[in-house]
Amino acid sequence: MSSAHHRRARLAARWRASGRTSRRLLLAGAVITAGFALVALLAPLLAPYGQAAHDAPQLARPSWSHWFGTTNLRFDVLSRVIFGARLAFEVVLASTAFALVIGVPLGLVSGYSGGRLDRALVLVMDALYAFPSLLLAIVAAFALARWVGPGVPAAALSISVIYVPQYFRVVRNHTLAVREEAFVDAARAMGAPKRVIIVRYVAANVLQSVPVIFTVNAADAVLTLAALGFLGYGVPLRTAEWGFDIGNAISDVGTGAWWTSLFPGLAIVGLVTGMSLLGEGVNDVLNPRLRAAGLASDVTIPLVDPEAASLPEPAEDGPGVPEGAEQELPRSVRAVPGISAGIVPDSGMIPAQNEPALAVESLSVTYRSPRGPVRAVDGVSLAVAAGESVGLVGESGCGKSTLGRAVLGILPAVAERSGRVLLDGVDLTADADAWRRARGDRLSLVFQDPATRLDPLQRVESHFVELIRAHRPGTSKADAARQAREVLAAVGVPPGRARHYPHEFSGGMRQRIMIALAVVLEPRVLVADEPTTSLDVLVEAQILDLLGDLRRRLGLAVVLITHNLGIVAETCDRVAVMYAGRIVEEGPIASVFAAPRHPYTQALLGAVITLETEAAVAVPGAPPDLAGPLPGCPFAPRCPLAMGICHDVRPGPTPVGRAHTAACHLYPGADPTHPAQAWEPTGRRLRLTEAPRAGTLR
Amino acid sequence: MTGEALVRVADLAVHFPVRRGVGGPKAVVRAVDGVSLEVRRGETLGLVGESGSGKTTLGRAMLRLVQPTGGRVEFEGRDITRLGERDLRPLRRRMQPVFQDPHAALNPAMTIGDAVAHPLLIQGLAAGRAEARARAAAMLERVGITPAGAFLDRFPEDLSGGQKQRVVLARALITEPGLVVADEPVAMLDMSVRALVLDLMARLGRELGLTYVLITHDLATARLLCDRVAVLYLGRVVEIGPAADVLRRPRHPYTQALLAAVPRVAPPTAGGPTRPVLAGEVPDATRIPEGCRFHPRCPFAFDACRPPGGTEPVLRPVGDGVDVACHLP
Repeated sequence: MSSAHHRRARLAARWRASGRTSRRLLLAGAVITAGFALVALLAPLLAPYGQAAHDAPQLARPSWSHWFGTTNLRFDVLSRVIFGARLAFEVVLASTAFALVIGVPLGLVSGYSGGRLDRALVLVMDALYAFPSLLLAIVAAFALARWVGPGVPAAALSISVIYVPQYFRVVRNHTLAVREEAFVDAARAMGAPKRVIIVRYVAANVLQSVPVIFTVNAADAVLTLAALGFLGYGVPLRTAEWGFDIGNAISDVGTGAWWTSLFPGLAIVGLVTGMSLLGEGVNDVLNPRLRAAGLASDVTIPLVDPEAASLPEPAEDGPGVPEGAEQELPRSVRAVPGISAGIVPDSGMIPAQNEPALAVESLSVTYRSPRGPVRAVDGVSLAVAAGESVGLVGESGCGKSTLGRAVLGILPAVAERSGRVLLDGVDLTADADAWRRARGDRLSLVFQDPATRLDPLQRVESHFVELIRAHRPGTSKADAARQAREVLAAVGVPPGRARHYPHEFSGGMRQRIMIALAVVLEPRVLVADEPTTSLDVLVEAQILDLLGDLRRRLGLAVVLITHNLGIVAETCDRVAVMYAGRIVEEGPIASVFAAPRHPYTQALLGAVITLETEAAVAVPGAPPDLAGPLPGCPFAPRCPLAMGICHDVRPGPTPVGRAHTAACHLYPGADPTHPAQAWEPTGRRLRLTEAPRAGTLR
Repeated sequence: MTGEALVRVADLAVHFPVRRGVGGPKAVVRAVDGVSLEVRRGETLGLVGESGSGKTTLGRAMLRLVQPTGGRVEFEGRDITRLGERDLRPLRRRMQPVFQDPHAALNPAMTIGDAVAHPLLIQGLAAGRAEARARAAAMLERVGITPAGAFLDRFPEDLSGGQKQRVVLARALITEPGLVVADEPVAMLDMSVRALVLDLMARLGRELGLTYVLITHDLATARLLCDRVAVLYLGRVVEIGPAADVLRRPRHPYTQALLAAVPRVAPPTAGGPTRPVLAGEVPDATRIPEGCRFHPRCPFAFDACRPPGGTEPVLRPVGDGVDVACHLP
């Protein structure tokens, strides 16, 4: 298979993945534009009269001999409109070609080299860009008409003056970004000369955005050409040009001759619409990320739910907290609903004894995708008690982050959920308003990357004030600010820095701020999704200690999502191991880590590299495709102990120890001499298969 | 085979000028601030430390991907500190990088086959594209991308993270380098794949007689793969020696703190974890503390470490082949 084949396959996949509406718009745009192009190409054959022939009767109404009528200069309108299309295409193509030839290389060199040349070029281009574009084109047209004489080249050049800075800016900015990519370093490290790096590594990537700018600019160029013609600049009299013809027809409107301006006007509207639709469509298909931004897994979750802010909140006086308790913590953090008073403030319900703070029941999440539904979470049930910490572990793609989002109720629009999420016994899935109110309040979230979750334009304190006042409308700004300082102090951020901006903090400090935001409203449940993955090991230790401390003091129920088994071993009470959207093993840390029962858990633990590791054994193979049907145990294809039943029957959770379950057909009643029983936490490890199935295509 | 120095770094400094904010005061980031060490032929030397310790910049300076502002880098006995790009070119095939993010390390506009073949063409080591691609295919097979024929014309986006990192490795090894500087080669990979890639690197290292500089913040990875490790703090080596000694019996308080912070995958013992947590974070490399640069965070700092009067400790041998830069006896 050739690379062209793969390139086509990639485009075809994007085409299929794009929405039906954008595909239809693209097709409509392509048909309209192609129609105009055909007319332009065949103009001499289609036009009943020459574009310069002015021997028709003056200002004749549309008739059989002159379908669109004639003008006061005795031109045939239909012929002028047809030849006008030809001119429009000539000028658009030529002006774009000029702009590309000048703007793209300048942008590439300027962006890649940097330094003085870059600064000078940016200055010039910015000056051109800042100039009103039509005025710039008029000045250029005026000068060029004298210098090269009026005609298509002059018109094209004068329009390209507008677009050179645009191509330059887009290409330069894109180059600046690509220049920092590791593959450019790799090219430098292989000794590639600058010219080769710019062409094969930078331009090859940067130029992918050019078709998009082109289609967007083309429509604009048609309008600019018409505007120039309308004002009397651009092309000489006898050349058919829509804008020029409309300009000439202005005086006819008073005499009732509507046809002289209507038809060229419709032509402009038609071509501009066609090109715009085409541009938008190409953009959608080539850059699906722009379109899918709102649906992507990495949706930015506003700290304050705009809808929650408008909802009336029952006034909360808070349960009586013994004064003097928990001196170190601010008052706002001290009150522990359900623990200190045994009352959940919002619902007014008294939780039944041993009611878990968070309960997930038969939760499934399915993503719609071009390949069919993807079962990211598949019938998960999990309970977390107040003050308890449960680690959710597994390889990437096992559904642990989706589960976290499903609990919060912040799944992207392409997801479908079934099953229940209960907060203190209240089913949130039955009441969207309650879920919204709980989010950021009694149910909160800490993300992996704190840098992207704070608004760079807002002081740290304002984040708190906004959040507190959204959920506790009665709070004054001063009170909210005071609470912010208290909770910041509690997580180790000097209160004096509350009025600093997020970028003035280090990564570790920003994560502390995120945690402070997550706990300021005294949540019942905290979901932490890889909270320390972007941090250094020393800072990680500080953050984990902080989370543990808050959990104990506030009686928080914590769900810690991580791929790092070491963190779970050190900070959690229980662990749930996920594979292919299902929990395959769950139990107390001591039990699961000392005696893992599911072959997947055993393999995962064997793959961990610790300071004691002498030889790590990778988990062979790859997780299954969740878009396909998964009969039986999803781990069976990778499992060295798989039996016949594993491929056909889905195993359910089976008790394998105290509060310890595994979803595996080996249990119950497995042979005690079976290799799966012979796990040792250190030393000999269960070796799954000898030769890893490396390099298999996904 | 181990012993002779392949790379020798002497008093190396890499300082970057920065401006704090628009029109703000100028400052200098001292990313690498006086490092002397050698990488011995055939060994794997680990550079460990937190982000901001200068380990990545030191690695890039060894490859001359960044221009040192002071000191010297010698490669195979030749001073390459101030060589121009043209003179460096023939040396570049002997020293190659492997990057942290396999998704960013491959040109999205180039097929796998071309990406691996390109260094051969750039270096003039293959007669033509056909020969270069044939050798690329052989190298891809060697790193476990099999069958290579099915991958040559594919684009990087069709590959998983682990597969991309194998391709990056193939591209680095195709010109038969002596030195490979691998910057966090498995940090972005799934736990289950890491062991595979590390195992592959170790095997290729033995088979091809490679010398590795392994840059990592993960002490467990360093312990598994490295013969020696250098612990960096704020652009300086604070401890260097055999991995088994440095990571089993750390002497510098910073190394001790780093090791103590590594989460252990072991069933918790009674009493729960008691882990000394180091206060503060790596200070700003534009304002390196005077005296011992670690003193503001050091639980054992005493007068000799702090200004006034305190001095920056230099590396001194403490036995077992370990050198430590610390005033503590």
